[in-house]
Amino acid sequence: MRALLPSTLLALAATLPAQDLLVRAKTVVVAPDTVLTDGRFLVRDGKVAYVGSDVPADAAAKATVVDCGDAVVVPGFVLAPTTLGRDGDLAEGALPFTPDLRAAEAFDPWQDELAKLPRAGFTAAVLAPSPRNLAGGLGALVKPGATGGRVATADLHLALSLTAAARNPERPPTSLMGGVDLLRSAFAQAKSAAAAGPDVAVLRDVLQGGRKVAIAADTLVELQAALDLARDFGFEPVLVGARDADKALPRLVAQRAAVVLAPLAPEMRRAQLELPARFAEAGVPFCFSGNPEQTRLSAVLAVRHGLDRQTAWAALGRATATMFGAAGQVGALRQGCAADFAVWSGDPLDLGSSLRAVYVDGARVHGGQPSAAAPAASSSSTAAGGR
Amino acid sequence: MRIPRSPSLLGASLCALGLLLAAPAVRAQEPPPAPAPTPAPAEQRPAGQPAGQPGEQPAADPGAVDAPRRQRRPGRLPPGFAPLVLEAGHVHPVTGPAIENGVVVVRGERIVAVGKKGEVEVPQGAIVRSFPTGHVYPGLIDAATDAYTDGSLRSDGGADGGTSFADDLRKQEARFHDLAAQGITTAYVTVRSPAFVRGQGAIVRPKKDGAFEPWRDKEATALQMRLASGTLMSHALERQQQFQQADGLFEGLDEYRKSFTDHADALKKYDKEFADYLAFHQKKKDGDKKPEGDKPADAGKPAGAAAPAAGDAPAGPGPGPGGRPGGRRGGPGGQGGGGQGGGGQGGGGNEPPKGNEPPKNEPPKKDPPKQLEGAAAAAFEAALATLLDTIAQDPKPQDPPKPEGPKPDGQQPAPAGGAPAGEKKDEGPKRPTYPKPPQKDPQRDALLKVLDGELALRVEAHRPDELRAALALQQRRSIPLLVLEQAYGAGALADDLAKAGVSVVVTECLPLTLAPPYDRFDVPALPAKLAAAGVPFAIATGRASWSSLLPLQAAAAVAGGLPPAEALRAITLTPAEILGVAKDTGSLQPGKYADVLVTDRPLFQTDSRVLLVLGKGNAEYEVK
Amino acid sequence: MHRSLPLAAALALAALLPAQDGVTAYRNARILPGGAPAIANGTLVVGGGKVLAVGGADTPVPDGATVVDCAGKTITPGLIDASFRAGNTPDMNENGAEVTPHLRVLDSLDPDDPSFVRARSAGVTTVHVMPGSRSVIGGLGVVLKTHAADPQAMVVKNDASLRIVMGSEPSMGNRAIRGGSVDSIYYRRPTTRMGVVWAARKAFFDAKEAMEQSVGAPGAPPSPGMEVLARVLRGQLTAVTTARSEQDLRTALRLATEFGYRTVIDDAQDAHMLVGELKAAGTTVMLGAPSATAVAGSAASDGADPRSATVRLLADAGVPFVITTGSNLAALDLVREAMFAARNGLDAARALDAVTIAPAKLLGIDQRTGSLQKGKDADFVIWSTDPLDPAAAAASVHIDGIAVQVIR
Repeated sequence: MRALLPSTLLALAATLPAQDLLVRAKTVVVAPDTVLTDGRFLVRDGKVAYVGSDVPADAAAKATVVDCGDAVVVPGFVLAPTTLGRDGDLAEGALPFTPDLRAAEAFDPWQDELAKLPRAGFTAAVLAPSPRNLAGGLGALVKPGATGGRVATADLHLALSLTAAARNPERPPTSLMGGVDLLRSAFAQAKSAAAAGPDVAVLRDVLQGGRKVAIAADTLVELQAALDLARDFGFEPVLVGARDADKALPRLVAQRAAVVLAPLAPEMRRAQLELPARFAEAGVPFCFSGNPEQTRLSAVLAVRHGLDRQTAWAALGRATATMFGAAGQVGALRQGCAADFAVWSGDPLDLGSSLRAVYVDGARVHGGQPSAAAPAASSSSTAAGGR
Repeated sequence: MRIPRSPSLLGASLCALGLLLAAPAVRAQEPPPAPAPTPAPAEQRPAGQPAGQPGEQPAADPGAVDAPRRQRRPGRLPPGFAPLVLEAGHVHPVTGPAIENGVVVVRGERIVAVGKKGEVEVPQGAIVRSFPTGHVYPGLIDAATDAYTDGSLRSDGGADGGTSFADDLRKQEARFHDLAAQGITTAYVTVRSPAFVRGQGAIVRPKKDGAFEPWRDKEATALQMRLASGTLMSHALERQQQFQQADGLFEGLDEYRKSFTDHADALKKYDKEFADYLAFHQKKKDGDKKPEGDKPADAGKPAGAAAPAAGDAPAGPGPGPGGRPGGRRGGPGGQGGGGQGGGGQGGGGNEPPKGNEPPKNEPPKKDPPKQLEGAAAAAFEAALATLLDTIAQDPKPQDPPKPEGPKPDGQQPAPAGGAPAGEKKDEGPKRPTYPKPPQKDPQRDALLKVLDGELALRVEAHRPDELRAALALQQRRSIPLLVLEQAYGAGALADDLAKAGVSVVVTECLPLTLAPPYDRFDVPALPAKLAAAGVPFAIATGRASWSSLLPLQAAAAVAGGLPPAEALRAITLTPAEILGVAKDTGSLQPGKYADVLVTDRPLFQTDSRVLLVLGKGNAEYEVK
Repeated sequence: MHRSLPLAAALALAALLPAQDGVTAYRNARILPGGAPAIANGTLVVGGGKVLAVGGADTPVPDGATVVDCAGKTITPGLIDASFRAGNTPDMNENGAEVTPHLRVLDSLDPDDPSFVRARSAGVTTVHVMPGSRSVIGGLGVVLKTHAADPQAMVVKNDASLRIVMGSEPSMGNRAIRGGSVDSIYYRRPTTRMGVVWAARKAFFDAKEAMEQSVGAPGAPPSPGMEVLARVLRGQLTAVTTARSEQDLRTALRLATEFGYRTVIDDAQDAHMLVGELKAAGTTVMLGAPSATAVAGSAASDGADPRSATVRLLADAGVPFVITTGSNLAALDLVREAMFAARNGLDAARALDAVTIAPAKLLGIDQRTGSLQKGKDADFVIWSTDPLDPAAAAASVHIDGIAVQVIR
């Protein structure tokens, strides 16, 4: 963590607002299940200090007002596990099993992909080791910023992989059964008191319920293996990729698994496009992987195919944050969460809505001053032909 | 926006006229070619009887493209033809502001009234469908899709400008091809392929369950061309080569056209000489016998063929069906061709009923003329030639009717009258030789139609440099109708496009990054730029698999800065104008086809569902 | 009263409804129950996924049972393939090491694998799948039904066998370490057939040692692989040794004798050459694809020489054997392999037993399946005619009473 301090300080020094911010908007989505009309919240030190009627009058009076007019303020979206274009840095090629490697170490605050996040309304990403290793290591929560990105949380979740990518013919394990066995024996070993070491410590965190586990698995066999592992060692897995997740739906429900779905594309089979709605109905939490545009479009397509908007909102941030253990920080505008939010002209799930501004830790990183933009934009949206 | 009109359109309308004369055909009233937005409720007649479609309506105007082929008897109307009234919370006519609590009255296949509830008279006995919170839009128009095609079209290396996609469309089973369920009632079908000149796209009307019908007389709408290098790196030289290749296509078209007009002239001359020749021999053979057949045949003819001749004479060159030189010789060359030139199939298909009937009714005397006219085939030509040879050899044979054949076909009275003059000469005229018809080239025919504005030229060009090449081509060859496709970089030269008077079909209008060389183009922002410059543009899917996203693409353009009303126009009326069917669809206006889309929420909302789709008044999709 | 339905209609119905709910009686069929004499005009009553009764025409049929007339048809138990190739080959072979006794092939098996569909449509209701043949000791096999509503319910017996492979196949792809840099896992032993035997012997030797040590020092747990080998040495787990050529067969027998474990010989194409030894060792032989003229794997280079008379020779000598499709790519459907055996001198009843009750006993699942007996799983096949007739086809295949394959 010490290594990260300088960049953090730098970011703070450049962006820390001297004053509290009072953000007002016609619609404030605090969390997918909490929507305020004519809502407001107070930002202090980059965090949400008070929401709605909790905002003290004196603090409100002193704060700089960001009036978003008739816009919709939503929590910044959170990008599901990604290598942000740095796959090479995030897959340790020599060893298949490296649970104690930290993705945060491979983080580059200036990488292009990170800077692109705010343009689509994203304010954070889960940086994850590549699924090319059976146990890739620990993920990190990273954020873009006006003066470069930063690591918000270094040791997030443990990334495991049972996909074909993890079965490298040039090093063991070369087969799925070999991979399954390796993970199974590693967890079994971590259970016994005798074992020690940094890798064992990570697995032990998982066994004690202190760390989320994401397992990349595509086919039904891989999903079953992942679910077996979770069942045998008592954790609730996040399944990443999960191409055949529909076939394993009953088990996903029974084991309280969450799923990171591959991004949806218009030309997919109808069953695939309707899968998110089915998951929502079954109560399986999910989010989408992919680049920022793909992720938002996936949510839009899911809504087009029967998903309710609340779950779709969650899939863009809240569910992602929860799955990877960052629910207290991002994905919502509740008290204590980071003041990461986006100002949209309408519901971001309608493609007709445009992004006006994005704030990370209370500082604007994209778009113009909403107060200035508000009047013009509002007139155009009322002329929306009866929309 | 110029509406390309093909001469066959006229043929079709004549066909319609014929039907109307034969029996009071059922027609919804049609507006004059440019329909004024008449919100005239007064025009409503009570329509007490559900079968109220008698011939009281004004007879079809010349623009009646789609005359019903079978007559519908009053009193035996299927239920679908009872007046239908759609009531909805919001009616979006596109041509005007949204109407709260509006109604749309449909009779037969056309809209008869649009207005506010209470202000529009609702016909008695009408079926009323009410959508209190629903939204009514005109049926959407997809100005570019590859629905109803399959991979074979894409990889057809043999395709050229003469190929018509309409010939290769079929119902496809995949869900992507069910355009009607997405509210699309009119679509322009093209295919994406790397071919340079790809063929002629067709307008179809999507129907229930993935079926479709071609838009009659719009089987060929535009010629597809590609002036793009795709995502590969390219060079200025390559652009130059492409331009020259495209430009070269138009080379020699004048000569080509002239070869046909020359041929037509030669035919006229031949007809005359041949008539002289015949008359001479006939007189010589039986000078006392009166050529009785002449008169009635002439009388009968004008009703059928002379009329189009008058109306259509200019449309010379591309005498359609290449395989019937014999037909030309009977008919007065240029004009006969003109009647069919508009595409061969369309015009030709309509001709027979008209062509056959009048002679049948009026001169019941002679069979051969009819036969000649109706089915002048090469075989007949050959038979005639041998016959004439025999005539030439011995002046005996008693075949007067046959030689008269050619006469009834055209303005032959004069030659017939001139025949006696020829007879006076002792030395008969030499038998003329039949002029050799020039070689037909379907691609050149298509290009000539492009130059005449009958076909639009659709050019796929992506980057600004490619787009400039397209503009240069338009300038150099004076192409009246140019439509640009996949013009991702058009934003940079929107003003030039506006000046050149071209239209743009915008595809890939989603907030998704394009493949690398194109990732600098922000397609959702393009429509707003085009709108600001005054370039007419349509938003289209480009591919069948995106057909459910047509409204969402328009919505994405709104996020790019386009006013919502213009976004709606870009998937309804503007594409109708670009495709040349705005007279019949594209907005909710009396007189247009009842192409209607009803949704439960505003169209641009992601979760809006299609409740009902009408195509020409028929339910093409209805939510269960 | 009984409702009587024509076969096709009844089967169609059975395909739609979970058959456990009702009792169904199949009458007027020729029944070959497996391990028992044929019943000419037999009745088979099934219900609740189990066989309720098998007998002659006078077998009582419970009230309310659906009666299916099977006149002209033959009913046999569902066939059992004791050595079945399924799944995605790369995932069945762990190339990271040559001895991986504890790996479970089940972890790599896709329940939707098309090979299961093909097998059950040919009347095979139970299969024994082992890890691939590219490791000396590949791991643990599993016995599965070829269909179940829930993929996990397919498993009949987990850890059913340990696969050992002789011959050149496990050494293929390995390269000798001869100086230079080692940049691949394939620079390792074994690279020869004798290296293969060495690896197997070393594994068992280590396991024995570990067993002896663990007796003295119970604190140190043996590694999982050693534990599996120890179970084989203790006789708690059946070893299946794949050995195709004569010398590999001899080696397989010798290894078993040396370490004192019981083994079954799989794919024993050269068994005709050492009938006496096999008889003496009391070893069961899995005869893979007796019809195939081409040998499986790399056995041709090892000198294997299959003969069509092998089955009869084994039968005459009294060597216990079963017929399988094995790892031979040229294998026919299992029922055709039985037919081939019958045509080469094997008694028809024994040929059928060799694909039903014999493999069930060998795999230790005969209390559940392998023959039509009251109380066993209702796994059976209705054949259009005698199954050993070349024209025979499975008219319908039932697993746990559910018609999984109906051909009309």
